[in-house]
Amino acid sequence: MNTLTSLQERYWLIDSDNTASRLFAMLRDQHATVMHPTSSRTLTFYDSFSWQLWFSDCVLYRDSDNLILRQLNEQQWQAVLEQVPLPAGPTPTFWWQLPESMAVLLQPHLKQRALLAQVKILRRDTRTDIKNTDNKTVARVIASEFRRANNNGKLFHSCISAKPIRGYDDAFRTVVKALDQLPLAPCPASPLHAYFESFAAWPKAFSAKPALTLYGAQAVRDVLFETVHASLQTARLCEDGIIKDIDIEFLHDYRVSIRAIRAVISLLAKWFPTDFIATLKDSFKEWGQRTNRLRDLDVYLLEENALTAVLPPRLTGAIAPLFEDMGKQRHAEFNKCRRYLQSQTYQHKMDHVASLVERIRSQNTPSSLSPASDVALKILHKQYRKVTKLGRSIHAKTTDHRIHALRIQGKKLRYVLEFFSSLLDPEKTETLLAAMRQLQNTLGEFNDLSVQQNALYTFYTTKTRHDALLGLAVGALIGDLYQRQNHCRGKIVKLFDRFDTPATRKNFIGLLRGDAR
Amino acid sequence: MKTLASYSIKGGVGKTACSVNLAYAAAEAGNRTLLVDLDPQGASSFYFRIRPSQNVKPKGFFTKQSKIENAIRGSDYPRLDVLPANLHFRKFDQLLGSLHKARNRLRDALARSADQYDIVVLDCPPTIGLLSENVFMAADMIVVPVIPTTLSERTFEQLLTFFRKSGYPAQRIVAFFSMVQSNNRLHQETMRRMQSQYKRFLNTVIPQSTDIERMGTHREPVLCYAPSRPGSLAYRHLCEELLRKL
Repeated sequence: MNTLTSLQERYWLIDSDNTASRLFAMLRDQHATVMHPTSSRTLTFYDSFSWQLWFSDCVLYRDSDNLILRQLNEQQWQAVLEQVPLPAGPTPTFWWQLPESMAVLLQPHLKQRALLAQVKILRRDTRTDIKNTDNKTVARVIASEFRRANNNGKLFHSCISAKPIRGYDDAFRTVVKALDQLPLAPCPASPLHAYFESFAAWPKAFSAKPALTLYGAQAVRDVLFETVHASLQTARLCEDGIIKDIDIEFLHDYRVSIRAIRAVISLLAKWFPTDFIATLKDSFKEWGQRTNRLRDLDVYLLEENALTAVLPPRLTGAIAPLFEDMGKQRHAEFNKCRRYLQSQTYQHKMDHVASLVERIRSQNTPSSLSPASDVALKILHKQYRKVTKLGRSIHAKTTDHRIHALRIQGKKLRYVLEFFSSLLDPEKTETLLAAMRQLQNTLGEFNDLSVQQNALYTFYTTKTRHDALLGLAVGALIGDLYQRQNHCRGKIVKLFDRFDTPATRKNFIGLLRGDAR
Repeated sequence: MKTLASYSIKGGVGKTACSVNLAYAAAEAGNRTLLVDLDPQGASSFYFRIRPSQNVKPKGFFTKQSKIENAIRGSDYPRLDVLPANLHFRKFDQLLGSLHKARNRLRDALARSADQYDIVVLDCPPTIGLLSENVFMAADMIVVPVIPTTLSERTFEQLLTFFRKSGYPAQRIVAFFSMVQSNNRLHQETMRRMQSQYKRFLNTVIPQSTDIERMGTHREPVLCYAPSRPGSLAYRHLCEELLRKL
């Protein structure tokens, strides 16, 4: 690769009539060339579990000692966005472990997600350099074969490419013209696309909240079954990542799925027999509870830099024991969680729950057969009233407990809108969700700040040996969190007023009047 | 972007060999590198088989970015580009004398390509004039090859004196011993004396070597055709030492 040229690399497919050796022979007749020995290497493509780079039209791969980030557009390799050298050995797992120039480009896509070696391709290149009369290379032509790293190294893609050298545009154009005159098909895809094409399998988008398409006439029991079934599958997909501790998002997504299941069960409870719902609810409750502490610790450790930044320089070192302690607790909590997920108890419980979920479909009470659209509107109505009633009673001196209650009811309202979104007017639903988002984020922040203060208080007061500087640092942090929480309280009142507008009401009334499809 | 200048008032001390191999090693280490051949003799361009840049005249060099952009040539090696010299470059001092802000012209011209390169290596002619002063202003590090002989020692002292008197930051000067003969007593004595006198000498020593002299025949960096020979290993260490200091 040369650093800059105005011309783009060109690719053509090689076929049995136009083999690489025939093409090279043709070039030899027209130019002075130097052919290099064939070289083989493995290209390892990295992406997160949820393929965030791929779905952002980027591809990250390791080619020998370089890590390369490329833009993809309509299945074609595009410009190299960044390339950094990597020392031999394992590739770093997180964006923050990479050189800064690469890290800043990956951060917005990956956030807390780990990089996984998703695809390995064996690449075999035969290169011919086109020389001028000074024996200087003025263009390059490379024949490449791509094979699967597994599956007996099956060949899935062969192409020839012409690469320009900066400042030698005429020579490149001459080579391209010669290759264009041959009956060669332009390369339709990047090697990675060709790889997926060869399997007829493409990366699938992953979301902790599966988007289901429901129908208005569908029985509510089917809605419950589909939602619980899909979310349970999603939770199961996360188990391996939690057990291997690949990144903290696996646990987060697992919990989001379980929470979504619990929310939908609770919202639809009155349409089903009480004892059946109680059994179903209890099963999922335990999984949420067992992972609470680990998730809390993940969040605290994630906040380490932000929390430390609040402290004056003379106290930043003093707070280290807090995070060391949390690190140790996290280690112990993770081991507990891992052992549980690998246990027979968990597997048996999962089997039992799966059979319970199957039983949803055999619920034949008249209410369980109610049409989904009726149920959606009733729940929406009830939940909207709860939120507005609670929200209108909030003021600058409202207790934490009531604000917490508003957060829970608001969250349920958001779940209802999300669950039934396919039955509702998409534009109105999105407007309502957008109106709720900022309020919900601030309510979430309020709750986090409260939980963090309690955690810091418990950490220090349960210590057997007290260190003065650590005490000062913890005190300073609690003070800062308290101030921020008070600021949030005032903000919540304003945000609720902004949410509870005639326009929002009109939108809800539009949905409640039966704009469900 | 960091700029390294291979510079000495004295000729024949190994400036071009240093520039060529340093640029090659920097690119090999993963840096997007530009070698700027400021010497009208065009020796470093010759080593990379790149023809003189006929369209770049001194005025265009300092005032029109497109002139430089169009003159840059890709080398045969990954991540390494070369801005070749031509005989017009002999008029740099004359032209710079007629321009405003005459000492910052090179720095400004290079800054326009800052987003394209991580490292710029300047191969400088053996003169001390306005062009050299531009180099002193533009370079983050001025790398001075010193043959451990009396005359080289004298020119090195002259350079330090010039920096002191003209107010240039002398801490940017780093030196290394070049073309050293291990069995030459004068070389060994001079090295010992200079190393104790000046703290700015690098640990790496470039030996006198026929491998390095053969660069003219091979027309490529010694690191390419004799990568494991002592001369090549020395240049690789030199590059590592310099990049660590940057």
